[in-house]
Amino acid sequence: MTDIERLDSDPAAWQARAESLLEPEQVYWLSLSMDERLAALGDIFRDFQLMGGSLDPDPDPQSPFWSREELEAFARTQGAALQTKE
Amino acid sequence: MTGLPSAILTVIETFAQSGVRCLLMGGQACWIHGSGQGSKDVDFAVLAEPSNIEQLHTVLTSLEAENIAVPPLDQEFLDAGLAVHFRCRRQDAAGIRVDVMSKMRGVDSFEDLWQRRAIARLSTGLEVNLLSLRDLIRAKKTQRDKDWPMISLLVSGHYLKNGNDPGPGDPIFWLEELRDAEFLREAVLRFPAAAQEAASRRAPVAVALASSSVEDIRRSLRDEEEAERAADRAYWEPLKKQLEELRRRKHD
Repeated sequence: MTDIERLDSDPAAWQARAESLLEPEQVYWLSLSMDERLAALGDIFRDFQLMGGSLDPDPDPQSPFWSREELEAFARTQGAALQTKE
Repeated sequence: MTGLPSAILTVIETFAQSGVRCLLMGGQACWIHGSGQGSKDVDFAVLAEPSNIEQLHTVLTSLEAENIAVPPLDQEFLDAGLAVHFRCRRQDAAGIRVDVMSKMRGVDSFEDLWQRRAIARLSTGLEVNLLSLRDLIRAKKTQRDKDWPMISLLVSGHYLKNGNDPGPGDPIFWLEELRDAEFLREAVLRFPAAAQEAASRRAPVAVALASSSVEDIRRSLRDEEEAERAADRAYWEPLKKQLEELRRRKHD
């Protein structure tokens, strides 16, 4: 039986392949329905904020929405933050 | 779980309850469609017509959302294809960035997107409308490095989850959008008739039909990606000039 024939006849092979190729968290996330993922979004971002995560967008020089001035201002902010820590 | 509300979900719920014709897209839509990763802001495609924009103003006001950067919220700028950016100040949504757009390169009209929309439901029964997976992937074909791994994750994830039991249209979707060379080669072998059809529209499929070399398919996928990125850069050139002019006027 070829690999393709095995895949076409064995549902368990697909699950095993997902588990071998993806991180466990991704396998779990894929197993959820869209409704479950929507509900879980709340937990993810709440926990992220409780752990001190910032909701400020990561600067993206490739994004057409970020101006050169905004990128430079962000870089200055990061530089100041590093100096404060040192 | 702490039982505390989530600011991100508060924003999504507020929009869903507002009656604004909008479709969740961007990073949050990627999470819901199964990517396992996303972004920290909330992006919506919105219908750009006066009464809907008025309702949009109302929901943004309710979130105490401050317009940041340029442009302001106006149909002119939405019709041009620009994104309008906000930051929420209301306590239960504080700090959440909201971006709205109504026109995106390579993406159909809002009405078509709406007809094909996906719907996710909270336990309260509240429905959240979002871009379909196929439309989300089209919207993500940009010039940015970060969007292409996301496309790959979404399509490969869909293939791994549904590959054993494809729905109607799934084989063509995979052949048209898979970005993993080995999965694409596999899909060509598993669905030969659909592959013949897709090959006329997509070079990596034609390469996969002609060659068993994964490296040949990878090369074709890279070329395809670079062509999309170049098209996106060209599309945004006049829009970036418009943004620069708006920033200049704002500072004057």
